[in-house]
Amino acid sequence: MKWNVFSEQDKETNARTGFFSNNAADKVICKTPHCILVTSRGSLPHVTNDVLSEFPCLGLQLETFDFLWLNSNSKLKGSDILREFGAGMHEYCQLQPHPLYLSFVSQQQVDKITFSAKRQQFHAYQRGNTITFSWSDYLELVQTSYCDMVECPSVVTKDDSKNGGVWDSNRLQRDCEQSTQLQYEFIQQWSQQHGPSFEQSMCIGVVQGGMKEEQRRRHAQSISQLNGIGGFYIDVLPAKLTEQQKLASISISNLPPWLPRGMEASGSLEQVLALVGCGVDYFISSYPYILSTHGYALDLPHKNNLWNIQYRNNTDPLSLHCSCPVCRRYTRAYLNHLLNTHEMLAMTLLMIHNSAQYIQFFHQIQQAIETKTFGAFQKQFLASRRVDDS
Amino acid sequence: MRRQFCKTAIQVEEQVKESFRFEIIHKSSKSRARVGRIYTPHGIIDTPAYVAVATNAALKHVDHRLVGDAGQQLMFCNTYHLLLHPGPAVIEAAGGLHKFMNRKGAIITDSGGFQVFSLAHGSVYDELNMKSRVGTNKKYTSLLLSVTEEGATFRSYRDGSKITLTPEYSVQIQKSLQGDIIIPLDELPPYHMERSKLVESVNLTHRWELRSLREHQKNPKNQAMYAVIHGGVDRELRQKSIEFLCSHPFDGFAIGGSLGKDRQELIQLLEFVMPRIPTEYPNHLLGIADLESIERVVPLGVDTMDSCYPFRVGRHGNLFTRRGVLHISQSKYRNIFEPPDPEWGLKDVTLAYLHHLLKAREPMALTLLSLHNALFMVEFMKDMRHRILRDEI
Repeated sequence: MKWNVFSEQDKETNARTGFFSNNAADKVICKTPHCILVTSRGSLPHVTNDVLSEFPCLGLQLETFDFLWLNSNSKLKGSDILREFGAGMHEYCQLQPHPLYLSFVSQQQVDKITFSAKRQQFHAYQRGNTITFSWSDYLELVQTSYCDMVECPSVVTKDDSKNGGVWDSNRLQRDCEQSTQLQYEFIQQWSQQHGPSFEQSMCIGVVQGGMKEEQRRRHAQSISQLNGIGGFYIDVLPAKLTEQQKLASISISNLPPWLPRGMEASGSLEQVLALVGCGVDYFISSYPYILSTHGYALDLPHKNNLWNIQYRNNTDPLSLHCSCPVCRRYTRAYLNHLLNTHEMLAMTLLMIHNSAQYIQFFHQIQQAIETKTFGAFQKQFLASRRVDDS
Repeated sequence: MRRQFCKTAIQVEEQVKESFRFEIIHKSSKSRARVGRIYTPHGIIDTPAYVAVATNAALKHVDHRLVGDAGQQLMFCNTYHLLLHPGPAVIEAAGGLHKFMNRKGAIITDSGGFQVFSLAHGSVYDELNMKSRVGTNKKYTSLLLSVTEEGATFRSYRDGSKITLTPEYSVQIQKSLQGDIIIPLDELPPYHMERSKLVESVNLTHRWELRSLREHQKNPKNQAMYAVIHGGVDRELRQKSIEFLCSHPFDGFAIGGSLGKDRQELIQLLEFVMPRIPTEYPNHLLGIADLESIERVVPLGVDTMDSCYPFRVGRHGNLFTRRGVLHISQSKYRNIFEPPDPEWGLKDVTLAYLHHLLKAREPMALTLLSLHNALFMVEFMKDMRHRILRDEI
């Protein structure tokens, strides 16, 4: 997997387009800015594979913790099963032809990850639980999963409550240095021990630094100097959009422009637009799922809560400007009925529709950048949003 | 069996015949099994057929479109639940159930009679095991307020409002839903009932069914109405019910009421009932469609049968295959990289992946397991029809 710039940066912002392509065939897989949707244990929630295959180009994110062990007593290793299966995660989860992104760890899932150099073990702290896995566990999973994009391992420290909400600079610096070292060693080991899988996949460096600008700048510079990195993931803790934009800009300004940059963006469409303007190329997101769980259907630029009684008799499709299978076949009244009778089909149909709309949103962004109208598109989009759309 | 029709009934029957008819393709030489075709305004139903239950105009966990495309020709929707939400007015305004839920194939709607039973006694299992009598299902009894000559009165579980379901109202609702086959209001008596009370119940049901028929005949709307044969496990009452209902112009016959406490009793009952039902009309077995029962009731001449069984067992981690039911939660499936069945059901997922999803309690597991069972049932019934054509059943 590789990435190339398609159009130069927008004059007013840092928005740009690019495309991911297949190493071997040089075939364009998908253009950027684009979304990588979060899966749950290898499946896009409530969406079966036959429907998934109808989406033209959809990146899917897999969680390491979902596949490290395949049972609750941590005795059945996912890498063992995948090795026995022999064909990688695409075939195992039936996710072809979509590119797969293997996240080391999701920010939402853990409070902290530390690494013990002595024992060569990671410890992930997750709401009272501790998950321990070794360096080789992760490496084996990477090697047997054949994912297209693989995040380097890193340490994560989120908990600053003991320090009265103030980041401990020394600790942050130590963590960043340790992360850099871990990523360097990971690339070395992966490329040396499993050359073919390393060549085929894109290694994603994780840029950290907490909320400290200087730390972030330094860490971005150190990660960008690692050999073998194919792209970056800018690790930003949940914060206000303005802070996210600031940290993204600082990180991006210290990263090589010829490689893609990604961030997490499950918050809102405004967040995506703002971060695209900072120069982010891909977004790991569970936004369609979050909307669907609350009964919302995207109708760009708005979203409608189909629980609302006003939709009981509404025979319009979920969006008048959508050609997804749900809008071609079902009405708002039917979705309102399914939600009110707690039928699971509601989630399925909403996920399909919201995912299609979310992809369409990114297509609109790509078009706006290529026609050099991204600034105007952003202003118009924000102006047309309702108060309850955010 | 002699049927006496008045002029109106003859006109109605001819009108319905244009859009509804039943054709026997082949009768097995080995049993009473037969392959037939039911023609409806929304498509053909090849019989014997399994009828998937879409209670709230949706199959549980599965997009009914997928199952319809795979060959599920008839679906069962529940009038009682659709009355409570979204209501017949909404569905009528949408153009009927087919348009509302976007279903191309045929739909059969029931009358709400089963809910009269379940609101009083709980599930069939509860009633058979005498649980309803010890008051453990008080929450159900409190919803059913009364059963009188007029109809059944109960409270909505959604908003507590009082609803009286009369035979006429039940038919009017089904007219709004615009299903292809409708069922008259009946009372489903429990298995444990004194004979005198059972007789009263059957007589009441007969009067209700007649009122339903008359309401239906005022405006057939291209719908067919099946009578529901009652009588519990009492053969005499069953005979009486068959004779009474056959003397009226129903378009088919459903076997309802209490069907016995176990499969053995069910089969014995059907062995008595089936030869007495006119063979030129389609018949339907209400609420029974597990695999073993299907294997035993089809040779008795049953044409269609409905049940939520395939979906329910799927949700509990059980997959139908030709080599038996697989309990996919067992650890032995963790590294079996084959589909559950090479030809029937889902072919592009492996047992290992399904095991993984189920153990991880992913909602997708419920979807895939239910979908597999639904697709398996379509193939299972197709195979059954082929075997009848070859006189193997």
